Amino acid sequence: MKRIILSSLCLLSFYGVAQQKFAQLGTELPTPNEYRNAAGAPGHNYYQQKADYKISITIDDVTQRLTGEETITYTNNSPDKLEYLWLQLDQNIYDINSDSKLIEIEKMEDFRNIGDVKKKLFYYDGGFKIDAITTTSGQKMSYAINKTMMRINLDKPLASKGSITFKIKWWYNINDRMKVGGRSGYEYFEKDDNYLYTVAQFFPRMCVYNDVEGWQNKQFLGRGEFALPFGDYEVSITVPSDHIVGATGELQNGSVVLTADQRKRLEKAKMSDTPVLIVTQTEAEKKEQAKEKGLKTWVFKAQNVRDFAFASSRKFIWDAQGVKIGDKNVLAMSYYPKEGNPLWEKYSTKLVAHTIKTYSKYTVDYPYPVAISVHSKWIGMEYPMICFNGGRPEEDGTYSEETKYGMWGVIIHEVGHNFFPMIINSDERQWTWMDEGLNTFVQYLTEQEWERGYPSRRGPAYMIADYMRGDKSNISPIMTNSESIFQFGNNAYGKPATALNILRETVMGRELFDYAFKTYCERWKFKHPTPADFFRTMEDASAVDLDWFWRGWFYSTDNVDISIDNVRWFQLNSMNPIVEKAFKEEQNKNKDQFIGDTRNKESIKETFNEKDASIDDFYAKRNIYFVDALDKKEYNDFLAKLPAEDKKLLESNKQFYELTFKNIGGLVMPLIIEVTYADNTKEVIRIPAEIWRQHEDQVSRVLILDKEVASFRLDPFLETADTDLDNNSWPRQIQPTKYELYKQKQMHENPMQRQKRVESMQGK
Amino acid sequence: MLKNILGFLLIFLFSFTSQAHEYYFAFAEMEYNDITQRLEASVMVSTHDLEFALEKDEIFVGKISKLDAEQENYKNIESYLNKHFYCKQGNSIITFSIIGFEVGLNGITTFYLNSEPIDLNSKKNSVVFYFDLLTDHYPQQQNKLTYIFRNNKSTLVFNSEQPSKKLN
Repeated sequence: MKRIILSSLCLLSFYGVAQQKFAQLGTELPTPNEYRNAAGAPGHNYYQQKADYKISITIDDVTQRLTGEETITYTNNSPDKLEYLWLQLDQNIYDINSDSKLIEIEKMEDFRNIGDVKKKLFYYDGGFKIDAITTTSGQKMSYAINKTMMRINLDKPLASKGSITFKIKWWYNINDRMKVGGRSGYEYFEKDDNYLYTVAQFFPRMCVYNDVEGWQNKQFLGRGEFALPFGDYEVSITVPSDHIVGATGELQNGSVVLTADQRKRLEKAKMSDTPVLIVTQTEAEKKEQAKEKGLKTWVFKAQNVRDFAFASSRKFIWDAQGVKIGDKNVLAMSYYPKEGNPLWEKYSTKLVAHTIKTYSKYTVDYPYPVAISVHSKWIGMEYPMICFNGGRPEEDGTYSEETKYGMWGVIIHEVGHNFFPMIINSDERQWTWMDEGLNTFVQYLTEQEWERGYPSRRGPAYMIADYMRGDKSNISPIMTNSESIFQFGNNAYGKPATALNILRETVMGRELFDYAFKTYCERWKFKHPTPADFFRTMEDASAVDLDWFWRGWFYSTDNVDISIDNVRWFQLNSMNPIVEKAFKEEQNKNKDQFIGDTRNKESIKETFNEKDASIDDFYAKRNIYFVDALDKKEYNDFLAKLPAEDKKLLESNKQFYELTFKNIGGLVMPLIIEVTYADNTKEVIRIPAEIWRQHEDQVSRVLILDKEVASFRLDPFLETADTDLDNNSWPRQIQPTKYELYKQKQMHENPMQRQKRVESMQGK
Repeated sequence: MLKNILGFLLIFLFSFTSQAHEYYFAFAEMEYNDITQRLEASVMVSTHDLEFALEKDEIFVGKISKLDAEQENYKNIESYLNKHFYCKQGNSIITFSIIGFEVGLNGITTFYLNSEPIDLNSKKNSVVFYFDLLTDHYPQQQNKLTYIFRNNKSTLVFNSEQPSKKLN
């Protein structure tokens, strides 16, 4: 209902005072220092260690055993002297006594069939077997193994700026990935009796030592992935002579391991912007049958990488194309068995090329010479320059649309990991979201640039609403250590990706966000960032105070549920008696009538004063809505004194709406209000989240509009992850349930049934 | 201590660890329709998670996207859902019929279900909800149900430790 207000308004604050949600992040963030400054950039004394590797390994294709020898040169760039070195022995997660096997919660219901029992009792002699650790002159070094970590004791501490070189010999049995799972391992193809190896975490790797953790030697329990220093690698891989090997880095001895035809095709691929086959399916199938007996050694070199992985099989089809990134030509490549076709030949390398190009736009230019996607059934796992990806068609060569999108998504995601954490090298063991969340966010951008309307699984705000609503006892804040997270996927992938999308689309805007995000990536490429470096850089480069956002989205489990609780409508009093008295008369006419009054009009034929005219005096006879000469004079006098601007304002017919919003979910967010006017036109009004800064539970806002309003709607573009849309409208508008929407679609058949009808109509 | 005999079917399936696979969530919405006196629901679940669980439980329906309402498999899916998504009113079990489903290209399948007519008007508080879909296969699985009764919404969270919830 419209109410009249006087020209002078006195607004009183009636809300309580509480400012927790906008409190600056003080104690939550580490104090800036010479290594990491308050702007979120590396400090003037930032340092990082370097670990260079020269590795020789052999894969025995009969026993599936890997034997290796490495020479590590470790350079201590820290200001500290180091009494010992820590290395990671990730394969020990497969040791029979591994903690990761002991900490899984189990119930008898987990053993419902013999397959479950077999899996539990499956014995596999996994884990590194360390043969020797020696100095370069062959002297034994003392070491101690604590599960997945190994400490090498130094005779004398490694001084600051000093370096040490030592050798390790080891072997291990490669895991059957299809039986025991894992990020790497082998797949056996029974039909043609061949193996496909995707090999990673295959050598003792240096731990990170830095200003944040000292030695990052938190045990590998299976979920929190890796923290690794940068270094240069030279790796020699000896495999059956008919194998094709793809690896981190550039092939050094193509003239030895490749045929003349393959070399020619590879050169052609470098100049091609579409994939060129280097090994065809026909050639790979021939090798599957022939199974050569000899061995070949492939040599790869990689500079400034944090890890090394490779894939090897005689089953590999291999294609490649060039991609221009800045002034560099990067080789995008794919390796896949025939079981991956037709999907892989058609899409994989094009996806690799598109991914590094799109990520380069939003982050940093892809700096490495190659980017590789290897087909590896079921999984998706990332390493520098190379990743292992699922997406396998049916045996008959057909595939569903879901398989296609699954394959596209996993390739974009895993290739995207080249940027997070391979280049922007965060500590995965500590913070999964720093690589998975940021990567999932750019994955979403990349998917949308691959195909308009791409059905991305994560990214848009509305997709996280279901996860965030309800009881919070079984979900964790994003700022939770990798091993302790409830709901890993939603927590570390989905929610941070959504949060960044909201920052980009709603809180900061694309221009400010993209600049700040790129600044973070440029500042921390080839370095080790922490959450505080990210939070600080995003603010520092944009001049947007985001402490409230980090606090709500990253440090709490609150959800967004903001309601329009009340709307009051006012108009300015024009002071014109003709207008105002007519309005009052109209109001009086339209007011609700008491039933007794209505009935009395009928039942009482004549009242006393209607019979006796002497009863009615001045008051009874006057028409309070009549505009008399005095009314007119007073109005004209008022107008005469009024400045022109005020007069114009009085005549403007402005509509005043006081909207009251309640914060039910806890997360404060900007208010995006869609106004639908009585004439059916629309307007969107955006109010920054800071409106909640002093009153975080309830706020009001007066909208002064030119036209009468029919309805208001909050978050009309589904950009805030509001978990209850039913309270977002005025007048109240209950949103249909998914069931109701489905019924409205009147779908009584699935797509296959529909296709059958189409075919039958066409007489097929 | 009572010894229990462990019996199982002779199937040889191995589960796997997939690094890209990080979902383990099902979301349901259920509303009481006062006119039809039926509970109407939608259940959203990861297609791949469900297919894998069905296979492991020897319910061989193949790809969900290929399900046909005319086939026996359809009934199998319905009875599987009814084992893991149902309500109880007193001693009566309220089960659901699938009226349709949609397989999303983002890997999420949504089933649309309704119950037989029931009278909840005077007994709202006596309904107990069961939603342990996939919790026996994935320890991390969490399920959320948003229940709507005359425009009042409540969200309930279920996991392997809490397969049922009563609305107070």
